[in-house]
Amino acid sequence: MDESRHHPSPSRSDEAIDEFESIFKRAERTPYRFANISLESIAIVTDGDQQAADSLIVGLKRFLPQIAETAEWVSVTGEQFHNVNDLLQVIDERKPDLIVTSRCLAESSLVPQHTLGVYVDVMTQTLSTPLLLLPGTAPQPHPLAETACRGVMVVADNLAGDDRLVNHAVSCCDPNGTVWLCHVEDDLLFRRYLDAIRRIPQINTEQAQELIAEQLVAIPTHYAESCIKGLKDAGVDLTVEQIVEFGHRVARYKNLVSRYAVDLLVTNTKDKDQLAMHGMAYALSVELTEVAQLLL
Amino acid sequence: MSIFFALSDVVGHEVPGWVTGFYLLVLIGMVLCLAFEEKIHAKKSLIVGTFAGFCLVTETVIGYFTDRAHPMLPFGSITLPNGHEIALPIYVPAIDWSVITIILGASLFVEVTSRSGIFTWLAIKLTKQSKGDPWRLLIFYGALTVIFSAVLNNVTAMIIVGSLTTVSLGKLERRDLLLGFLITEGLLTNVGGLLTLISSVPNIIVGQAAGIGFVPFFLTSAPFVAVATLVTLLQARLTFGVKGLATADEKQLAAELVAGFDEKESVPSVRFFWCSVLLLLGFIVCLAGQSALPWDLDELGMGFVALFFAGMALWFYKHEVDTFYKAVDWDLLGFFASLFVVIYVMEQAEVLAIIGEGIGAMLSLPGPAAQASLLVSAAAASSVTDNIPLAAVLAKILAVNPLVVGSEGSNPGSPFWWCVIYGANLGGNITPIGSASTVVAMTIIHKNRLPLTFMGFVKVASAFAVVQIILAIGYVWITTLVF
Repeated sequence: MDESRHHPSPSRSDEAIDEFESIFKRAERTPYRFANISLESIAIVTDGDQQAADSLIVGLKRFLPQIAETAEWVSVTGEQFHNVNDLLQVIDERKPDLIVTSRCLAESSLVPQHTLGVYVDVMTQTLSTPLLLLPGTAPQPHPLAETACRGVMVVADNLAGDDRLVNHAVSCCDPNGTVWLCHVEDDLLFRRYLDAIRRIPQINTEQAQELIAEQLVAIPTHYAESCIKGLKDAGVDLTVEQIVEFGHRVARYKNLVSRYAVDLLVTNTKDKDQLAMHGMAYALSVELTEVAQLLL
Repeated sequence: MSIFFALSDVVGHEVPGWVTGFYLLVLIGMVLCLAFEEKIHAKKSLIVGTFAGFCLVTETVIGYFTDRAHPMLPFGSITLPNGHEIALPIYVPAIDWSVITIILGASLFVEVTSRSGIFTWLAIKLTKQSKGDPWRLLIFYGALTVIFSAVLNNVTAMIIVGSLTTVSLGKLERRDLLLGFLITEGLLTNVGGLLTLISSVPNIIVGQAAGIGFVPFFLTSAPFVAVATLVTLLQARLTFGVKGLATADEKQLAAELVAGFDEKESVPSVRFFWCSVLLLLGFIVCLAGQSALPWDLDELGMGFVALFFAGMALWFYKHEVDTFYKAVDWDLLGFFASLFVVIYVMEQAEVLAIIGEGIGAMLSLPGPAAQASLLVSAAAASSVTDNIPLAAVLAKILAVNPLVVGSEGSNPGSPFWWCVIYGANLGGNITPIGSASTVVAMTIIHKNRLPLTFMGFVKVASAFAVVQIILAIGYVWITTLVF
């Protein structure tokens, strides 16, 4: 007999401890805390000249009027850097609170596709400063919306507890606009775990599927509810809606962006322990190039 | 010697000395096996059941060969109160069914009502009331542990409060206090277990043997439980450095974090929740007034009250009652039933008379010394082995001791009963294997990967236990003087 396959049943008190811990964990909520995001300095990074940078600043001031009023705008133009190290050095000297740039910076000759380009890749990996990607790419830019940003979609694979994401989204949204708090649970991954559960006789598959799905939805839903209440309490008067569903993440987000009038996507690029750019953020950055994207 | 003769009279036959010695060794063997239960990797019911079977077989065979005319085990029909005779296997009347029915009914009732979320709701509500301040949290959880131990049982109390402590201190990012909290709660379960007649099994066994009613039990023990709880909490504050929050920012952050708990989440049905509250109040009231029930209903006993309320509660889950039957701790019930059989056999073999002799000598000491000796001995014995066999054996012995029951054969007011009750319960606080709830506390401690060895527990907990035992001795002396 293979001893490694023998799993002793937990004792009655072990089961009871686990049961009550689950009850209390289920009652635990992650409260949202509102914080004003103040950006004192914004750096525009372009591979064009000063005129191109100024034109971008005008568009951005119209797109993000709340931020534009208080921030100091600095531009980093094509003449100021020739490689990634140069750019990082310039940014290090300026120490901005937000970097605004385009995908595929300084790669006009490569006809890039499905990539963010070397510059943006390195910036997302080495800098902790939020990065706003303009619509389109540097060689083929899309115009920013003619009005202030009225539709901001928070994109997350784990929305609960991400106050920073929500606060940045709120700070970018026009007071008459809408913020969608989205959480898409990866159904492929869920199905893979269910396949494993189906092979475990000690676990009732149907019950596991129902209860796990219920909890996966409940956690972000409770957090979104806390956000709505927290923003109301803080006197923030914009419309906040929650979207929590199962599906293929990139496909679902593409669908959501096409369904709603989204001007800006806000997403996390870093996991707690992950220095490289978060997989879903990267996929969305290269797939949804027509929308501006704030990478945190 | 008087005890020896008293028990011999109960037995009604002559027992050779070697037989008594043999069964005394068997009893010691069983106690040792229970003490090393974890090493044997066998459940209590199986260990004691095996000893019960062995005792029944050997005593029957020994009786056959030594004095067949007067077998050691009194086989034969049982005479019912109405004069009818009924044939029952010897091991059926050997069991104290009133104790078994109280435990079965109460555990089933608790199992069903806890499904209503009533206990978890209260626990979360108090957590929020504490506003996340560690010292207030310790006071609230301490009080909750005592109340739950009294109303439910000490194991369930430890499981509920211990689980919540793990979650709430994790949320408050104060895991540095977790060990201190869990130890304190473990120690308070055995203090809370003293509050009512049904709070712990030794209380039920000794209370039934002594004839102490629910209300007199509560009125006697409540002042001690209140003082012991307060002293334990203050001692825990000093030992584990539990302090209140100092700054306004700390207080605000902690309050926000615990405010995140939603007590309603643990309540699946508001209707069942309130019905459970009513049932629980009815259960406590009926237990308290059981001896005063009219129309001979008091004759049905506390066990019936417990089973009746369990049955009422089960109607809320009428389609899935089997899940609650499965949840009953049959190991514990099997253990009790087997234990009663073993004790019955020991009684027939006059082992209890021998032990009673030693205890009789102790009880003959001057009043306060006798009480202190009995309480400390009971606590010491309870610290290394299960307090239930101890309580069962001592209850049997004290029930026939004239120094305890007097010339009338019954004295519920004797301080010696209380010495056994306090000793058997508080002794469980000296070692981690001294009571089922401290075992659970250690399980939660190890589950959270906190560093605490067996001796580490003894070192910390014995300081608390010594204080509690001194308090108990003092309390027994005072109550003896006053009443």
